[in-house]
Amino acid sequence: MRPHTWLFLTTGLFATLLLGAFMLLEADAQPGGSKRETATQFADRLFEFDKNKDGKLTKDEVTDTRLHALFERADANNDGTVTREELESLFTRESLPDKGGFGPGDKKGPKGKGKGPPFPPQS
Amino acid sequence: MHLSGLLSRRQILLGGALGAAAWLVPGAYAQELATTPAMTEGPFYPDRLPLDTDNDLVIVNNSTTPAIGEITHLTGRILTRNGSPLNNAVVEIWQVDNNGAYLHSGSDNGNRRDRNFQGFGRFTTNERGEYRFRTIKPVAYPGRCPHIHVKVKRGDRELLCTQLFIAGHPANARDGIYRNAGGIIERELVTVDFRRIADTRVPECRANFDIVLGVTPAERDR
Repeated sequence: MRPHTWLFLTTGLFATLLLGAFMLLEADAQPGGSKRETATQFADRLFEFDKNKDGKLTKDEVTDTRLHALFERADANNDGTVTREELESLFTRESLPDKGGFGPGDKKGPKGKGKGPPFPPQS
Repeated sequence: MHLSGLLSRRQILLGGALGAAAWLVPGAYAQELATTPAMTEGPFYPDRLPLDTDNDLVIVNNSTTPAIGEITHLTGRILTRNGSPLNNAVVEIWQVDNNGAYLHSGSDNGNRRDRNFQGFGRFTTNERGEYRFRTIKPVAYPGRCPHIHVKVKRGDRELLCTQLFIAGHPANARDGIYRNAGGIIERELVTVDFRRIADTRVPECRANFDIVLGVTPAERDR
């Protein structure tokens, strides 16, 4: 193989790897944006708390008390346990669209700093 | 228990080899907590810090006139993922006054700024990782739902910059920054109950915002 072919292949491989790494980070940069969480992924994350692996969550298992209010909203039949179906149902109820409404607001520059208006118009 | 799914891939990548090793030690952590999501600092961190930067934002220096707004007692703890408190962490907050003006030369509404509102405050956590502020309940301003900016530092290192929001506020769902905080779990972690305190002469409320950091200097030293 001629030297410039090697150069071509190496450059191509490097560019592909770089693009792949960039896409991975970019997808994570906006978890609610370009790569939206699905109902299944949401339930999977919470089921990491399912210590006894019985397919049901209890409040005791959810060791992060900041998520207890979410647990209570998910427990639609108030039986003290949360199933995967209840979590997926909560996901449907509480998912917010990526776009629409106002914002991002604070992402704009302050007045006089040359980054555009301080706030987008109120809607 | 592994809660690796509650961490983003980026955090895992940034956590590096030390973080990976910690997951491999059985029973290393008594409990695992979800990491508070980082959020944009925005452009209104004070461009000139006030002389008074204490944790009472309702009174500036020795003034006898309090700020306008619903007084809020904001408390919380700075924790690592295993629930250990982080002492000597400096917690900074900044927010608009009751007229929607920041303590910043570029703020809209600057001419109407409440001179009795400090706009910015600092507090160093104790050995239980606790912090405490007296401030006002945040209000909405054009483009944003009510929120308080929060930054956590230790030594020269900035550990987290985020924002907290009022649970149940109707403007949250229209706020681009709130919507893009992450998924439902991330939004939950930055959404705070502002509970009215009973039997106060004027309405006051209490809010608790515990912050869980990813890799911290304390973990690094362990």
